[in-house]
Amino acid sequence: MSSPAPPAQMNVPQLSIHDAPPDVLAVAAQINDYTKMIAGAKYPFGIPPPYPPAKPNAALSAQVNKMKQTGNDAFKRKKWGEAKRLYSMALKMAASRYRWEPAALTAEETSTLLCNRAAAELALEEYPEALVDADAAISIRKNYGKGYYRKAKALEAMHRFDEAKQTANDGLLLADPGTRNELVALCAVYEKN
Amino acid sequence: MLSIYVPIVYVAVLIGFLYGISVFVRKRKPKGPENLLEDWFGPCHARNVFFSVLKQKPPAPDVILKSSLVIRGTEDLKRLLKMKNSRNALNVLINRGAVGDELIQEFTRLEKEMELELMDVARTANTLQEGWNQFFFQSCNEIINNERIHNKLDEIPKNIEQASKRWQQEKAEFEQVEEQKRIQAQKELGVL
Repeated sequence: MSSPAPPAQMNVPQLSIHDAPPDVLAVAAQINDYTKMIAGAKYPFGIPPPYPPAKPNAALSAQVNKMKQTGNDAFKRKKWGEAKRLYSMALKMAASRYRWEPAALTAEETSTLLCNRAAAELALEEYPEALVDADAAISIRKNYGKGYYRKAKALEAMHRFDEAKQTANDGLLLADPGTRNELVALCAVYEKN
Repeated sequence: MLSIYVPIVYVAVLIGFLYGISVFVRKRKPKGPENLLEDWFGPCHARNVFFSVLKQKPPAPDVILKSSLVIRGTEDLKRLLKMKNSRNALNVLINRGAVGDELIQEFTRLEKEMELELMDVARTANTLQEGWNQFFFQSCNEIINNERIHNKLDEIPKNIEQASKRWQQEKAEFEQVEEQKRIQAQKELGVL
């Protein structure tokens, strides 16, 4: 488990096991990582939220959002490389969230950022990367209509028209109502062809 | 004289044989309670590590105890999820009548053992810190979901390699086809 690095002078007790099979050593490593993260976060009683005195970390969401907005601005100004770089940085920040914080938040942020990065890569004509990013966005959030749209566009750009049509239809079935608009338009275009 | 004892001996041997078989069958049935979970899922390292940390002399620091408990709870929740999926499959099979009683009984015992284990974890959590047991499994659940997301994120570079290779090949083929079409069109124009 990775995390924001704790200050160097922190004296965190660690578990050390000798002469054990690799599975047990892996478990000990997990325990040590978790201890370091908890010590870095400084909750009362060392127990993460939602346990009452501890409060969830609102600052990280704000930072990730700000970086996403900067990326969106660069995208609107058609600076595709800059936008992709900013989205990647925001993705790294969103991924550095503590493991015990609500997974729904992480899922939403990462899938949105992956989708936007896919859009930037499509504009840069990096089609395989766009496909992979859109695919990851869909697998993290199954009802994300925009993710299906980007994946269909990427497949179309790589001349895999059958798969693109299949993706668009899947998206229509699975997508949430709020994210469907482009998908509906895309499906209409495919029907005509 | 000898012939009087033959039927008596026969009945005695018969009864003794039947008694022996019944004792043997009764001793064979119950399996040790601790072993059933391990038989199905393999040894639980997180649980073993937790108990060895608990028994440490001098006693381990509080932080480590709590961390080991969280890791143990996470591992148990993962097994619970696997068991719930298996339960669905088992129900389908039961409806079709394809399973025997033994499997159903074993699975019910497995579920009870899982319940006991989870209750034990919750009780330990409450002992370590008052009121923790209400939020303990919530945190473990979030840890499991976040791990899933991070696995998907980590797969991205590998997938990019695969997709790039495939695209390079297909792009080359596509451009060849385009080239030939262009040459064809040029020839026709040239002929014209």
